[in-house]
Amino acid sequence: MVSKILRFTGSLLVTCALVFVLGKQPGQLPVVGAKLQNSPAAMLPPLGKFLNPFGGFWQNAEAPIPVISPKTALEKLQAPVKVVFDDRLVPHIFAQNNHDLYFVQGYITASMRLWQMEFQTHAAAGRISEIVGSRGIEFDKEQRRKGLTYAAEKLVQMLGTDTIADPAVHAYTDGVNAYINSLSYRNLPVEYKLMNYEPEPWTTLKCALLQKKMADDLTGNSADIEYTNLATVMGKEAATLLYPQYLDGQDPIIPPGTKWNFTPVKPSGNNPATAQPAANKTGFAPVFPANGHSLQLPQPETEPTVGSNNWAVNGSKTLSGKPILCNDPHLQLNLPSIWFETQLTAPGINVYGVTIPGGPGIVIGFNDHIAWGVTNAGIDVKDWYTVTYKDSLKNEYKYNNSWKKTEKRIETIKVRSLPDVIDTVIYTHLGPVAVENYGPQKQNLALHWKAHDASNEFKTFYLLNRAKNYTDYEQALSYYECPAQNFAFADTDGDIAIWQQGKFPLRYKEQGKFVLDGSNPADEWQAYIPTAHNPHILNPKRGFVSSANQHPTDPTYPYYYQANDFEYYRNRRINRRLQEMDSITVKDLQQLQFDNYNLQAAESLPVMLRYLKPEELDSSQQAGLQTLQKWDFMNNPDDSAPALYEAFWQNLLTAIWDEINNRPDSLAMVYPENAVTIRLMDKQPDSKYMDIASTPEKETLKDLVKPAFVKAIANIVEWSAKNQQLATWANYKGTSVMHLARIDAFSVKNVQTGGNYGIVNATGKRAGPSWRMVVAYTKNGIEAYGIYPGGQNGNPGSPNYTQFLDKWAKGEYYSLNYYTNPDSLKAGQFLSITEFEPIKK
Amino acid sequence: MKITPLITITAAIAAWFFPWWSVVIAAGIIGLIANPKTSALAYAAGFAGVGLAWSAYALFLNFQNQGLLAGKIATIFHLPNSTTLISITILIGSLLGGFGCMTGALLRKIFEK
Repeated sequence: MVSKILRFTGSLLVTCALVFVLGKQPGQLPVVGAKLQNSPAAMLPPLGKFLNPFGGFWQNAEAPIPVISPKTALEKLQAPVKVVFDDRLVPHIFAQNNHDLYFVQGYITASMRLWQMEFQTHAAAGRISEIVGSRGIEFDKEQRRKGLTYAAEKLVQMLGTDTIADPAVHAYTDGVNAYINSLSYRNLPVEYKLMNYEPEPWTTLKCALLQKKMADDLTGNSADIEYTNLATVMGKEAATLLYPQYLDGQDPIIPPGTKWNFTPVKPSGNNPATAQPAANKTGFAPVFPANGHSLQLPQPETEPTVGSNNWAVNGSKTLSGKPILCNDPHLQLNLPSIWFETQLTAPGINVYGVTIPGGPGIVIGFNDHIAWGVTNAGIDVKDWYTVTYKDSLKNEYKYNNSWKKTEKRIETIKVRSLPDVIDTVIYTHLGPVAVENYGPQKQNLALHWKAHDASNEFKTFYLLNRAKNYTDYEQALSYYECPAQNFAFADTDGDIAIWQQGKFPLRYKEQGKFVLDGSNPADEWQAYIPTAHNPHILNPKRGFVSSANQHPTDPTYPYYYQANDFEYYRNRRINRRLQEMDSITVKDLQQLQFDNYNLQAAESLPVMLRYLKPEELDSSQQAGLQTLQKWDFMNNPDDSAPALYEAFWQNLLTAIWDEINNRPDSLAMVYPENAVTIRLMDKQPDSKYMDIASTPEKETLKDLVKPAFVKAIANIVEWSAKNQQLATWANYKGTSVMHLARIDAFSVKNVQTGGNYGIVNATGKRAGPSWRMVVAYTKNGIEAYGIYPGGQNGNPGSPNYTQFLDKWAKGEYYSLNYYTNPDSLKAGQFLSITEFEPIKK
Repeated sequence: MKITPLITITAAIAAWFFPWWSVVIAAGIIGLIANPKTSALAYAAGFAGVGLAWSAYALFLNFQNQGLLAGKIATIFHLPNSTTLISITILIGSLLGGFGCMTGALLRKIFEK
């Protein structure tokens, strides 16, 4: 008897131990967990739960054609809603009222992109440590110091007073929650299972956070500190030469010579200090010593180059006699894709396009009257101000010869399986002190940023989605403040237009280019440029409008503005082509979106080749030279010349700007725009910047070119040997589309495609055309095409996850299905239909 | 070995409605009721029964998915291939079944003369 009980107890204990071990993450286990702490094995999910085919990750191994339930009953729905999924899983939502439309949009978007929606908003809010543990703390601190949650909270508060956008945001939020509430562990996205956590309820704050995250992505790059460093060390003249206000030859968005039919507002003329800031004439507050040992960069700016193209041509230039609109926003290439295609139909609205999962409406798209597309304005609306505290308590700071009270915001960062981290962020009337104790001088810098203000971009898209003509479009745009965009427009009346829309501070010359003095009221933003004075044009004579992140205007525009990287090549190529083209078809413009012509190379390579003498080169170098000489400047994927040019150019850039990249004082500075460097190489090859400071000789461009070229040839040989690949342009560039949590197995690397930053097909290593769209209004209705590098379904376990990628890489498009009546659809025109019914209580 | 299919079916039903460890209880109850002659036989029946349920379903899901996700998860876990991942899955299910069924059978044995 005793032995039987013992045997049973033993077996029971082993069984319990097995269940216990398989139910915990290895890092959470007693004894073993502590030993695993720094190994990746600690992060493994609980294996029993994760590998169980009835509930674990196997449930995410979807069939190529997903099973979509034909009927779904939902509380809070007011009337039946029909959702048609086409063969690419694009949902076409047919609702009977606005509430249901946005409710179901939230539900459907969450059903395909929930993990992404939550992860992105967690990142914006600085809550990544809750998921990844201590690895996320520094990132979270930085996010919180930027104040995105502070900004999003203000936005939610403002939305509460709005009767148009607020109900849409709430309905969308309810729809996302209806989906979340329907979930069990079995149908959680695989990332939750892998990282062993669960989704929390969606909120309107998360919608707002996403809007602020876009503002951060598109206006977050500010080089004030770097410019100040350079101006301090090399002098104001150097800053003016290297970071010019306007480069000759620029081709602005508003055609040069366009008259400004308004009376400009003067920047607070009655304040002498504003016009001549802080008593010195250099345009920045004299807070940094001339030796420059003041500012190191708090964190490297690692964002890839983002930008966009859009244009619209009117009937005078098209074969059909009707307008065509094109747009391709260049954003970081991620999986799941930043965009989600949807059609939204309800009384008063029938719009198709792409949206960022997490917010209601369509951001880029078209309806049966108008089409629109956006590019980033890039105008600086993010300024840094020095802050002087009264004492170490930081309760007061200097302002206008007296002391002003600070506010403190306690940021509690929850860290997975570790104690909370508390950070106090000081807020001044300018904004949060995002950088503290910085550099040897222990400086504190407050951030004044347009993104911190509440503004109703949701309303813009709500109205734009329903706009019928130019007046409606203008009205919709009037609510839009940040991140400023160039909205290209075309409609069925034949109008084309473009507005650079945003809210821009009214600045004195060079205000905000350098770090400002937070104690001086004259250095503050005094007012804004009236919206009606923002650069815009309707039906220009040349028959097209276009933008590609270049200067919005020529220098006659009466307001001061600046950006740290105005585009100089893509826009000129686009405008040149549009100027040349006639009887334009959809096909022509699709080819233009995929145009690989490297204008920068065409303008810089001849200058570089001036200094290469074949007789001074060995045979492999001579072969390389011939490759470059024969190159047609097309960055095609299979050619080797673009890779050689790129290596050559980067080496030369590094050699020229040794005074920036190789500083003994390690001061943070940024390179001038490539166009500025190329201009300098061409016109001033003996410029002092060509000298390499660390050598006694006085170098000129001539002395830099040959070593840069010889090194480039060696770079390519080394690269090929190391990667066991031919150094074709596509291989060498190595475009990768990365999973948001940087999980390699869920990413796609080395996509075979051409282009580069600064080329119309702006596909670089990590950013590129995130949605290519062409919309043509024809006699037979709308003809629309689009594609993005990903797939509708955000599940890495679904074949649909990367469904569009191969076609995207080849510059191909899908024809977009713009449905008007779900009941007239025939079998074969769609994949499935889901009927959403309200639950009657 | 008639109890093996019985365990397979019970475990599958339990796993669909309850958490992953419910297969242990399912196998245990069958072990308790069906009362295999020896604890080794009980272990074998549970091992095969739950192993069968897990392998059949995992293999089916893997087949319709054309091995896509299993391959990716195997890469994340630094496993040589998805076959290894499938084997580990089946082994875990089998161990849970084996110990569950054996424990149930041993409980029964206490009350037998």
